[in-house]
Amino acid sequence: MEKNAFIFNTNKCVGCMACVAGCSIENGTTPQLNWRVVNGHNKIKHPGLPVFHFSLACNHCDDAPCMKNCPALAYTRDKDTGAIIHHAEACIGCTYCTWACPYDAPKFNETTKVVEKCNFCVDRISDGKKPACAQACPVGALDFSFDAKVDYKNHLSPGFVNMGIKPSINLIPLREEHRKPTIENSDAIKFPIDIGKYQEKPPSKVELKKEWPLVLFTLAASLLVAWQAANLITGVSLPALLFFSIAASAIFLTSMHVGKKLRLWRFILNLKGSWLSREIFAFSAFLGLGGLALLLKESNIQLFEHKVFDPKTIGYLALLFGSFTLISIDMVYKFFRRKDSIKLHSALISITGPFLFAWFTQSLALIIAFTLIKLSLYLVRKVYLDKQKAKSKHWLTLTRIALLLLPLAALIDYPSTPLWYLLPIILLGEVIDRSEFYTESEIITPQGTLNELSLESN
Amino acid sequence: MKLISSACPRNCYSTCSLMVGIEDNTIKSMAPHPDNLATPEGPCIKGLAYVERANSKDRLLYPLKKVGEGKYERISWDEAIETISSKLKNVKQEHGPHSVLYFASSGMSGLLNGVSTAFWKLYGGATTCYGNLCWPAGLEATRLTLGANKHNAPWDLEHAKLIVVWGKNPAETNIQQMMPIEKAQEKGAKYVVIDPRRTPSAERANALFQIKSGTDGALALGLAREIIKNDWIDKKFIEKNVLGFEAFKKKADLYTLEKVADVCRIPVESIKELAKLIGTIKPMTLIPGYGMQRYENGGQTTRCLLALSVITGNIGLKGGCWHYANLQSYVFDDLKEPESYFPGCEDPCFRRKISVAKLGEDMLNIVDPEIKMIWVERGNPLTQNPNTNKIRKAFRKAEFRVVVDQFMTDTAYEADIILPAKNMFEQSDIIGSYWNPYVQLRQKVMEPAGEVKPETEIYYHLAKALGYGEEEITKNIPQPGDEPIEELLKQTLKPFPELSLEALKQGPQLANSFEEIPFADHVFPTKSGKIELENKEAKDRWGVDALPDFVPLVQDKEFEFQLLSPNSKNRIHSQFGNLNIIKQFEPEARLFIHPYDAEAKDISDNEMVTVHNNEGEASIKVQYDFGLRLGNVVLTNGYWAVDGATPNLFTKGIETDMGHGTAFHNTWVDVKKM
Repeated sequence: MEKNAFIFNTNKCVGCMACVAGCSIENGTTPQLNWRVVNGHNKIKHPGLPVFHFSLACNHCDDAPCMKNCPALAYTRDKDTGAIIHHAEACIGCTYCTWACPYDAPKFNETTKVVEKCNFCVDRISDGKKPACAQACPVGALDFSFDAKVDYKNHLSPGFVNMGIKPSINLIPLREEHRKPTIENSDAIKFPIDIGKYQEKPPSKVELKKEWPLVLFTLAASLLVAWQAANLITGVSLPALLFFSIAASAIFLTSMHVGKKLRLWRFILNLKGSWLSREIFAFSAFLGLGGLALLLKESNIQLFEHKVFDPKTIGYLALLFGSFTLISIDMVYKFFRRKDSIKLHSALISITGPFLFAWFTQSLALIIAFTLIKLSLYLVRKVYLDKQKAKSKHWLTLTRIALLLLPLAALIDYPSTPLWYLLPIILLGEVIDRSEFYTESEIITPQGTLNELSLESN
Repeated sequence: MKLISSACPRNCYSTCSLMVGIEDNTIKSMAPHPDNLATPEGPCIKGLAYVERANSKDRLLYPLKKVGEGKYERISWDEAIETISSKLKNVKQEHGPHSVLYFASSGMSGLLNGVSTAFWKLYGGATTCYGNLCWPAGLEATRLTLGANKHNAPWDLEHAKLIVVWGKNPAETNIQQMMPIEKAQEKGAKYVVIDPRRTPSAERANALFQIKSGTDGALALGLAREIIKNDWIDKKFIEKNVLGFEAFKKKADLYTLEKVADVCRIPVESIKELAKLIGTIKPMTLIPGYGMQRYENGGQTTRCLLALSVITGNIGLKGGCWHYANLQSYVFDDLKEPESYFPGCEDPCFRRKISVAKLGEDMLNIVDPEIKMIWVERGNPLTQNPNTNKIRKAFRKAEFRVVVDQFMTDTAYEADIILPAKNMFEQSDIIGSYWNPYVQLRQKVMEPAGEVKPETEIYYHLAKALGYGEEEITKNIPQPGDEPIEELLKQTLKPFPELSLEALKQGPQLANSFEEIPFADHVFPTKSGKIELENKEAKDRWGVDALPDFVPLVQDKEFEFQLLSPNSKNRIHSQFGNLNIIKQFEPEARLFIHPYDAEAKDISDNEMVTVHNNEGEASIKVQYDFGLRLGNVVLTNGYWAVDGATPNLFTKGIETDMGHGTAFHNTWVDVKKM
């Protein structure tokens, strides 16, 4: 299919930044918040590796993950040009698209509190002019075609992000002669260079210092669902007031993570495509129904005669939404690429929920079962990461294991220990595990992918 | 938005043609001008940055007067002209006109710059500078050898089968040249780079010969020896066109592989390989940069390199030339560079000259009369001439200083009166290029911002205030307004019927005497009419060997690192670095150092260090660079004091061996942990 597309010739680009400047002048972007970025391979100039660049902005993918996953429907596709357009007035500033896009195109603007990104210079291309970046390239390395047949095979070039989402960019890879430098220098250092030591790590898009509200929110959600289920099934006490307090804190925590709090309602506009929409919708339904059931039960009010309106029925309906919430939460994080690359993580909310449920119900068999699942997943991961020579804090690992086993030991040795003594210990352990879920994950980016390539070729 | 043809007048190879987008007397965009075959895809990042530069809130729009240390006050033009003219009268009366230093540099090219000279002539003369900061050693080397500085059209490079880029970094300093290089490579040409640094230009080369800085001459002679030994020379060409080959052969014979490998610090095998490439692949275009002639041995080095093009017959061929400087578009000059740089060529009233390379020292030392007043235009000597501290001292020693500039540069901060300079969009002028063969009109597209006046107008008012008669003035200086300027340009164009102002308004015009392949006729305007490998003038005028020779640099043993100050893609000398578009990529000065050199001193990446030598000291942030040779540090040219350091804090002020150039790279420094 022919379409509008960038053409990027890796052999021609010298990393001069004119494309970035051309874009920022045309679009009046904030300095340092450029829509186009020149990603570089081997920025440290390791003598054994080539230096080359990928100048990238939004690739206006056929299967654009930003648009598909935006909970607020802030993205649309311009039919005539194929441009993926971001609508600032519809954006919540939740930055979920910055996780969904592997090309690092959507940028969060701290001043406007919403995301922004390359719009293909849609007005220019509608007028038959090339986008400003392509026009600005002084060596013809970045160009534009109005009727490109994109060769997706070239997206397999080493160091290029290839997620099969049909980006609108024709990549011309480095010719063979450019792939290995020949440098003559009798005084060159003869021993190997530790690239990892010198290569600047690109800022991670998942940082605990930014994401901690999400750690607490996801745990609060699993805690609430587990507790509500235990209340429903085994009658563990759950005062409505407490339920609402935790719910309110959870909502407060998520709202901390969005730029435009008054637009929170837009979160549920994309049930069809976005797990984030589904999560927020399911959680809201869970809170509403679960809270209602608790209130009805506490106040002994019979809403209607019919059995459907019985608190228990409403409670089970709430639990259904609750369970869906837990699955949705895990699905929201599908863009995380974990360093261990093991499918199941011990801090998955779909595991933590039942684990907490087991504790609420005090069923020893269930507790042992889920503790073992968590423990084994945790250990396998740690061993794997250790083999990868990933940095890890051993004291934290030991603490986490202790916090997992201690309550179990207490329960076995002193069966009468009240849950309220153990719950803080259990939750603290979960906070550690869940935090590691973030610190041990990353989002695929073009610069990160290039950095990995140089590490691999070392 | 209107699009108007113009051209970039900076001191840069590319001299890009531009389509300037303008709306409501405001610059909106810079687009490519397809008529320029050398720059068809448009300007570099600096050219794009004009959109910010023209509209910058930091631009000087009114005359300023210094009222205290770091304090300036807006004054009227009347006051400015009155103050300056009375000072001019005063110093002339008391000390004579030569107590005024008229310093102009390469900040803006154009024929109207001649008006400045005309004014100072009217005034009775002034002390001026001889020499040049940039390229004269290489120009003189080329002139002595070939008789003229011209080379094949930039687009001819794609026909080369071998491209040797030697001490040039076009990816940053002449970015459009990377296009024909890539075209040639696509067609199978070989491309090699010789440079002490791994530059962006080296990334696409088949090989980088990372020789020790300043040893280029030795490598060239060693290569020549190999080429001669293997009989890869072009005998017919030499026989017919070359003077002094036998003597040169003897000279080259001293440079054995082992010796050269030891001097240049590259393996013997690699020298053989490079010699084979140069000896056996034809046509070869050899592209020397201006960097490796900014050493004390720069002229002789350039002659050594040029000998390689000569003995292999790579002169005047399609795809084969010596690609140093192309002055074909300098059609209006009576005397071309480098000869115009030499003292003695000027009008007698300017006969008192000081060295541009030794500006500070000469200013301090000159007597009878001493320098009492300084006028600076199109230049920023405090960051760009060697030995910043000495120049600052000399500036402060004078009684009165005037600086004409668009921004508050380091030099402007030394001035008593600062006059706002026009930018390239506010007055039309004609410019040439030292790379592409076009004559271009840098076209007026807008009325000057604020109270900005072009220099021609400033001089007009000054001349009036000095009491010269209208007739006398208008003989030398055009009256204010656009029409007198157009008239003057038309008069200048009169001898060149091919170059009409009307055509120039549409776009670039090939210079009237343009040759796509100069020297194809084997006519060389030297004394002998031949290519002179052996040249008597070299000995007589410059006191160097009549033959090309390698003269080892005398290393300053007191200091550990040799400091190179090459140009960066982000600035043209000290211009552009103050703009936000550029600052976002390079917010401050960086000292590049090999990580192993740094680690030996326990210096980490991004750490502030003290750089010093006998000339100066500064605190600069370190950036690791595995692309350097051990023992070299790099601080790119053109930083301002506000950026942290100019490399000229450390340069001594030494002239090159010929041409009165400036040996910036003869500089050694120490780097210390703070």
